[in-house]
Amino acid sequence: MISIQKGEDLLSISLSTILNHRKDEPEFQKLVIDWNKKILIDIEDFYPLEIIFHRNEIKFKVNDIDKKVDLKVKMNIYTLLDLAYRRLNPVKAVFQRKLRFKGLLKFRILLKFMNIFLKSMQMVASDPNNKYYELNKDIR
Amino acid sequence: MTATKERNLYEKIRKENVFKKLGEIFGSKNVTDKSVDLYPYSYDMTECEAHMPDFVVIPENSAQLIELVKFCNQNSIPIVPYISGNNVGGLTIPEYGGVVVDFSKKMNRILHINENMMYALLEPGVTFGELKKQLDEHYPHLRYSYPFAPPYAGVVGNVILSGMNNLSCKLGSMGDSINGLEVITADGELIRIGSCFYGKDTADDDSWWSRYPMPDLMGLFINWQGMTGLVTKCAVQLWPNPPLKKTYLGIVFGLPDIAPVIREVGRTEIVDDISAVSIEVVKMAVELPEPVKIPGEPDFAALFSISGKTESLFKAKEEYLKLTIENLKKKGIKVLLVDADEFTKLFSLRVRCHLDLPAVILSLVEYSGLTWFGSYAPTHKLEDLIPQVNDLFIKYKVPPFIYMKIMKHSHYGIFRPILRYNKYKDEENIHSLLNEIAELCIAEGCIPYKTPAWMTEKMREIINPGWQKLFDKIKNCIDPNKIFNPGRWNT
Repeated sequence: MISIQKGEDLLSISLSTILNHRKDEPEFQKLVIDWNKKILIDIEDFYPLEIIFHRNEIKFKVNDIDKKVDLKVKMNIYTLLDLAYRRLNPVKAVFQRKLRFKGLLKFRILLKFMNIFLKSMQMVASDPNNKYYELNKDIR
Repeated sequence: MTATKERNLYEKIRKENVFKKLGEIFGSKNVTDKSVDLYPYSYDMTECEAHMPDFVVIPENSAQLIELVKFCNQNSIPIVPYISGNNVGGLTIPEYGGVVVDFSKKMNRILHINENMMYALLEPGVTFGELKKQLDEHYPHLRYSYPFAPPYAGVVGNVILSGMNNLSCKLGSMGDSINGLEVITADGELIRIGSCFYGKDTADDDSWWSRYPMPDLMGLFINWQGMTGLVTKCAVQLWPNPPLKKTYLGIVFGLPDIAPVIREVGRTEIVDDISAVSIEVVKMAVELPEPVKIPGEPDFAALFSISGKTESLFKAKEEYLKLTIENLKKKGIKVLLVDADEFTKLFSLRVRCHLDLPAVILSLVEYSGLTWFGSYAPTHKLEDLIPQVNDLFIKYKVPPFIYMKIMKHSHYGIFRPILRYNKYKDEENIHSLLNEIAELCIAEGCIPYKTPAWMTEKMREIINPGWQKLFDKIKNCIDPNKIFNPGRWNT
């Protein structure tokens, strides 16, 4: 069982939607549980967001971001959408410097993150949860 | 507690006799004077004081209403029209008691849809949801326009109060697209206005196709909040439904910078609709009732809808929209333009309620109270208004909720700060905030619509006296016994 923090800013709301899409999938759980890494995503024009994978939890941080993270990913919103909707190949995006990483030497971290993030994003884009209104039935 | 303002309604006729007469007109099953039935008609979601009606009637046809109006006029009994009680201005609260006429139960028929001249002839109780269903199922080549309102809101009420819709950038106010009205005036006359005026007794269903060129008597009934007569039929324009449609999302950083963005895009004349909301509103849609903006987040989200009948026309519009945004960027405005459908899938499909109108919008219904300063606004003042109103929200510790629209290709705009609140806890605080917003916006030239009486009182302080005299003369002439929705506009 994975617990994903509810986002309170635009980027973590998106990431929470994206990651929640696969949270019950055994393959995804295997990737995420006990990964214990900190990833910084910097979407140009917005603000940096830290994703913390800790045991079975995924949390987001926008304030007091850790100076030392395991991987930094930078892109703009157009690249993000192009990757999600498969208009852009991630390898091409790296070569064209549309997708930039710091911590490239930790190749395994990068690959695993791409497997978690990019794949989930592409899945949500091609098969969004159209029954979204059935979630959280609690009425205030 | 609900009450009725002092007005000795039953000096000419005893209340029991009124009830008896209403039973004769509408049938006893369609009349009530029981408190339990009357109570829901005594209030709405706003801060406007609740008042009980004396009776509620459910009409079936105009003949019954003619009889009602004659009777009420003779006995000076107020008549308040009611459809779904969704307005955000206390407009159907029977301030002086009397008879509430509930159109929603039986006078809710779509009488005719004219495919050739593209209009729908409606009874007052027809809702946006019903009209959309009818068009989608039987006339998919035609479309109507829908407001930022739930499907159970009434079409005619919104139209005759000059509400707006999701084609407003192209068409302007909904009041502009009325072809004809049937109205009962205080003396019980049934009047047809528009091209349907031909025909001594009845009008042909095919005759409701234009408002002009005769003297425009429609102005006597539009925006009067039911103070001049009872509208019993209304013909509204429909439009061809183009096969290609897309909504773009403009993400704008910098509070006042949303103003030039929506104004410039409006002037391109290629966009069907433009609406913009504070970024906090986007978060409200995903179940964050009290969102806080973090540094670096954008300030506004704007939706630009475009449509086209052919691929090349549609692509040309897309290209021109993108070019307009690029030109704004060159002027130093930080704005991102993305496909709204693509973005919402990755963000949260819940925000699609802003695209798929009419819709129940969570942020508007999740609290017991809802009120606003809904106004027509001069678009050149938006740069001043936005930060000042935003500061007022922050001063009162209320998450900013500013909704704006660009009307008729930027000829004017809609500026609508919206306040959601707990009616039983925060009403005083919210009313002071609304009061400050109203004073600021009226001073900047905004003109509220669907206005509660306390707000028209503020407007009357600065309205030209000649206008007020003419307004009062018309009201007194057309409704000498003040039976139609008394209290509105401080009448």
